[in-house]
Amino acid sequence: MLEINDVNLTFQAGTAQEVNALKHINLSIEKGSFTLLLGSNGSGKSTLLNILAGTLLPNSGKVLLNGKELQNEAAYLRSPCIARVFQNPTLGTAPDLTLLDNFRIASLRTQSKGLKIGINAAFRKKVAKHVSILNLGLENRLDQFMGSFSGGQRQALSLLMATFDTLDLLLLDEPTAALDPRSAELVLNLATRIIKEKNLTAIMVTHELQHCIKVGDRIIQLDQGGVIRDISATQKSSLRLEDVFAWFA
Amino acid sequence: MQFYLTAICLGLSLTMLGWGIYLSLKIFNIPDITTDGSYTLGAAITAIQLSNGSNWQLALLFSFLGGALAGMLTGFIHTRLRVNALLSGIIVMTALYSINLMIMKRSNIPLLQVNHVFASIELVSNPYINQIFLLLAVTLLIGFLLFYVLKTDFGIAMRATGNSESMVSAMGVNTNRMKIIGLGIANALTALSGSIVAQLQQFSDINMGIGIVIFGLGSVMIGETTMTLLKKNGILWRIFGVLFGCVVFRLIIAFTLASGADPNLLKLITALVVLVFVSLPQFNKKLSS
Repeated sequence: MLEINDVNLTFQAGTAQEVNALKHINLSIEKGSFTLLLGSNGSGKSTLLNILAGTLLPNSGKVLLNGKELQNEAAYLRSPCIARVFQNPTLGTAPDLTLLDNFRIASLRTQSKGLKIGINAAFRKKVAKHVSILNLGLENRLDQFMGSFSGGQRQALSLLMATFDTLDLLLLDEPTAALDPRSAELVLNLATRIIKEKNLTAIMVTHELQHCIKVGDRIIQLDQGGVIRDISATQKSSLRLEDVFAWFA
Repeated sequence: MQFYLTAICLGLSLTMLGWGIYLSLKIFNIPDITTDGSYTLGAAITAIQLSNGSNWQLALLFSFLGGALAGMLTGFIHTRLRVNALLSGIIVMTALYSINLMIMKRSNIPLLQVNHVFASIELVSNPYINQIFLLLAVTLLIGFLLFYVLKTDFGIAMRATGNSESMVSAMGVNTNRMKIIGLGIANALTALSGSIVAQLQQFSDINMGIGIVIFGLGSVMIGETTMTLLKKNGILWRIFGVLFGCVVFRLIIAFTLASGADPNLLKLITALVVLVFVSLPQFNKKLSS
């Protein structure tokens, strides 16, 4: 279970450019739930995701994952329990490393990176099997540089990398925003499938209003750094796209 | 002939420096000019140790460690004090000039009567061929060690740090620590190069490192360009490319000087050679399109 207790964050405090990015955020996210974070630009949804990932630290408040306080830990210290898929596929993969190298790093998310060569026949077989679920023939291109794949392929691989090892919380930062419609559908379907199959707790930041109808169990809308709407699974089941549009009217 | 053999020896000796620059610039994407100082540091430590009667093994070891410390200091200033990478290198390089003078106690130390590595190991009777064999053995050993490290899980994390810091941080890598270690290894190799060159040339001079970063950069670019043209992208080929680049660069300089060029123009020639190889990929792209 993820608990966010009275989290606040102000950028450039005490200056003329001061921005209260998050104000008294209190949320409780159930284990195994798929939550959508919705909001206009500057509403604070990406800031909240960054606070959960550890790339931003809050000014005050607590972030607890399964009872463990995380709010002061750097991103790399949270990696044993939190994985992230970035909005831009180039941020979530290393372009000059091969697909296998990228997955080797992903496989060590919860472990130390020692002086041993971990890429062997067994690991190659494991990665080939893992990427074959995409049906893109990438299992035959394991030694190709990540930079040679399309944005959609890289984002799908980034998602597979994030969920390659065990995790408690999956963060998806607008994973389809930089993709063409076909690739976006592939990544969204893959994300939904993995979250369901592995019973993951997931939070996805999105701008796509159709996502509110298509995926997820719960919707949280942010505006000007605060939570203004919290839609439960029951309420969400009867939600129509027009209703979601009306939230932004 | 002897002139070109000396150039090959120098090229091989400078290969460690080339690998140091390859690590900082190509692997970590950091323009580290600590190189100028750490190269002289290696030579200074070696000169003072050998002239005080210490053996060459210890001289190589302490040079390596001294260079590692210098690189780690640059890494620390860059990552922990949030100083721009280039400026961090300039700060440490500037400080090293005085430190090197403090170590050497004067600006130049001749190493004519000391027991250096090339005087201690005789594989063949011809001193030039002996130097080449020794240097080839050392260079290949270090090259394969570097290849091994870069293929390990730690090495993959190193390569990923310079390539996609956001991704590697999300995968549990402390990127700041990785950069400090990486710059440490890079400058340790550079100092080792300085130590070997001091023993090869039998002197150490406080100014021997000035502009050496340009030579290293040029060598890396020659290697990269050649390997790209040959479509050899693997790590082993890239490492070999730097070795090739260092030797070719020294041979180009030797050939230029042998052709009667004014030695005062050496730095200008060096800069022009680097410029040609740095811009070659762009010309190649334009020709292809």
